[in-house]
Amino acid sequence: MHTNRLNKLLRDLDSADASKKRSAAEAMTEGDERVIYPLIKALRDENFGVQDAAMRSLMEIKKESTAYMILPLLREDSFLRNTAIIILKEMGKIAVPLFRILLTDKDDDVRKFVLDLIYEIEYCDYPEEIVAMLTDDSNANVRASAAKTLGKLKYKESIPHLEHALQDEEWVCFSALEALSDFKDSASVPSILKLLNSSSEAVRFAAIEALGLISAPEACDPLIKHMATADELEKKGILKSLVQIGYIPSLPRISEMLIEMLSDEDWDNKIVALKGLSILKEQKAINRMVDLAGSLDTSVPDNEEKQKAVVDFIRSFGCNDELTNVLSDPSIKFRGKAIAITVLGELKCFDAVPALVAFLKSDIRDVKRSSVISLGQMNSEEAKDCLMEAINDSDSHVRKTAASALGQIRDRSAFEPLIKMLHEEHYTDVIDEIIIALLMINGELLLSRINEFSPGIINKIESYSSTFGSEVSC
Amino acid sequence: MLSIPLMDTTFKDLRDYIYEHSGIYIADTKKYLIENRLARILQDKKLSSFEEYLKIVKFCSNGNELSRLFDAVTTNETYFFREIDQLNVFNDDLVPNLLKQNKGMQSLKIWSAACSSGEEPYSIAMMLLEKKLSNMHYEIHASDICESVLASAKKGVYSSYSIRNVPQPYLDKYFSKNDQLYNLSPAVSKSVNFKKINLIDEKNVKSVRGMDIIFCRNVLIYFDSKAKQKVVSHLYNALNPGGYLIIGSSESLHSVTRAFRPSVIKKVIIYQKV
Repeated sequence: MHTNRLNKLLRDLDSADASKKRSAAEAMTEGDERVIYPLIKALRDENFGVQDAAMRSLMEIKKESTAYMILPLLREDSFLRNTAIIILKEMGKIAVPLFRILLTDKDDDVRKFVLDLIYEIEYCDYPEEIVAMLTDDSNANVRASAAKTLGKLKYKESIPHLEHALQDEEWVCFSALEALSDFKDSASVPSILKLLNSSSEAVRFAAIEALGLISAPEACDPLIKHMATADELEKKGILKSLVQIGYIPSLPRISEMLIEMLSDEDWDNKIVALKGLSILKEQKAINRMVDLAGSLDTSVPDNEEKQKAVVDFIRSFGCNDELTNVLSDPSIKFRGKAIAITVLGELKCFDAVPALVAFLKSDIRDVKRSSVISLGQMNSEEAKDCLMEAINDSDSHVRKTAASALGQIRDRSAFEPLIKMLHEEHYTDVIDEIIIALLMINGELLLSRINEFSPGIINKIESYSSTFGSEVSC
Repeated sequence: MLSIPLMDTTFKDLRDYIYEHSGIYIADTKKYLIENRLARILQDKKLSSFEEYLKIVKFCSNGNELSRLFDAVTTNETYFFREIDQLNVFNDDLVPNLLKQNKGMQSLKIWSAACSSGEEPYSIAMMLLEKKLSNMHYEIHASDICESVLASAKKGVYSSYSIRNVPQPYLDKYFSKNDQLYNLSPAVSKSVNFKKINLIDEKNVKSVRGMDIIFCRNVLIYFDSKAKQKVVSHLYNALNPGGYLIIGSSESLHSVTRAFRPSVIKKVIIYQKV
């Protein structure tokens, strides 16, 4: 950075105007070592916006000297200490060599913060020193951080020490369990199983969860045995772990427990329940699964992905009566019904055709449209008749979907009705779909009759026939 | 519709291109979403591959194509009076707070920063119309990255799905039903100024300044942490000192910025520029 520019920014950083100071701090992101100390000073500014901009700029100046000058802030008040932690974390590997000396700092908090930073950065070239902290540090919080960090670093030589730490104070034990779960090493299972006899409910529960995360089959029998004496919360945890391992025992109320878990607020628990019910092929859960998929508001970010996951599980059951029965269940709302209809079509569940045909008279567009698509996928005689009827529907979306479905099944008897429809249709998107359908059914015949149509439609036919030339059946 | 495969390399190229131009980050797990949503564009444009489409977006586009691409990759589905608790806090607490803090305030400026098809700014407009602020002029600005949703917002015509949360008195007063659709009254639609703004683009956002309240709900989720920081910094600069930022109730500025002072009003988290 040119000295003149630097001097101007330094002056602005000293100004009384907060927005000027913030802009200067922001611009210093392009600076060199000369801006580090002024930015550190700006971290103490009374304006949050200036503090934040200074912090962001320091993060961007990823130099060892920045990390070196930030380290003393770990001893300051909580605000500056937290700011320093955020900056050092962002700096990543470059700061880690500077942490080494602080592992023996007199201040318990500093030792813990440094370990937490190594945990976040996921890198350290002196892990044996962290093992020593796990075994010898006088402070339980520091030992707990050491345990978690060794798991994150995947330092295998620490496993025996982590197993030993399971007998340490509760807080250290939790962190050791977390670390052993990270390794996913079935050799740790016997040590963890011993914790099922712990007098602490929290330790027993954490051990059950860890066994599920390690997913070692040898944990199944002891977990099932423990179920006999477990309370409701532990039973739920055991069931979750067994599903994660991929083993569902034939015990009473297992299906009911999994179905109940579908109502759990935690999405991960719902997924575990879906996985378990899918392994059991528990058809009586279908209704609840469809309801769950339908209840997801896809305007909320990520819900589309969640809905897809639930639908994949529903699909994994294949065709079944419960899925068809959903269509006549008044407790399932139309979004759920539309999902069930789609899955029935994809799976080609012919038994559902009468129910799907009945939905063609529905007032709800989504349901009607899904039925048309599904009937198109069925390619049955009954479905074809209904689709022919649907191309005359008053709703243009339904007409469009029906035309597309007839094209997909390449039903030659639909050719003339579609030609008639092409003469009468006004909506351009529906016209496009009719042309594509006709090209799919008999492209050569359509081209031979091209002069029946208006110039606009002729243009469209020519253009689509060149695009889909390789796809048309002649 | 014919199914056209999206190769992994093309997906990555498309994803990087979208990120570079909008800050919207698409994870690997969302490849199927891109495939599904762009298939219709390919069909409409009579293209036989995603590679061809990417070329058009990159090299032959006047900007409209890019806009349509953003439109396809974002979730534009929304509805009136969404997350009503936040809107109630806006109406019952934030607006009175601002008026109290700035006695003699002549104008209240509100920005709905990712307004999609207009349901959010129009909900705000209806609430303010009901408030009947005496001697007070208010401006509601609304923006989105997608032109097509802005065009739809300006029309002010909604489906029954969009209006499902509208309280009956509002429905009676501010909508007229036409077949299956609901037309918004001009009294509401004329009170919102729509504009295309890409929140990641500093020059774009610089055109908005001096706001008292910004709504930017369910938007940050699309961005990665770098882009989030950039967007939030732009929003910060657009706010007046003392102004409020409202993000989605499932979103947080934790680990994004510490420039705002968070506070909880009636269980709703509000961020204030202090």
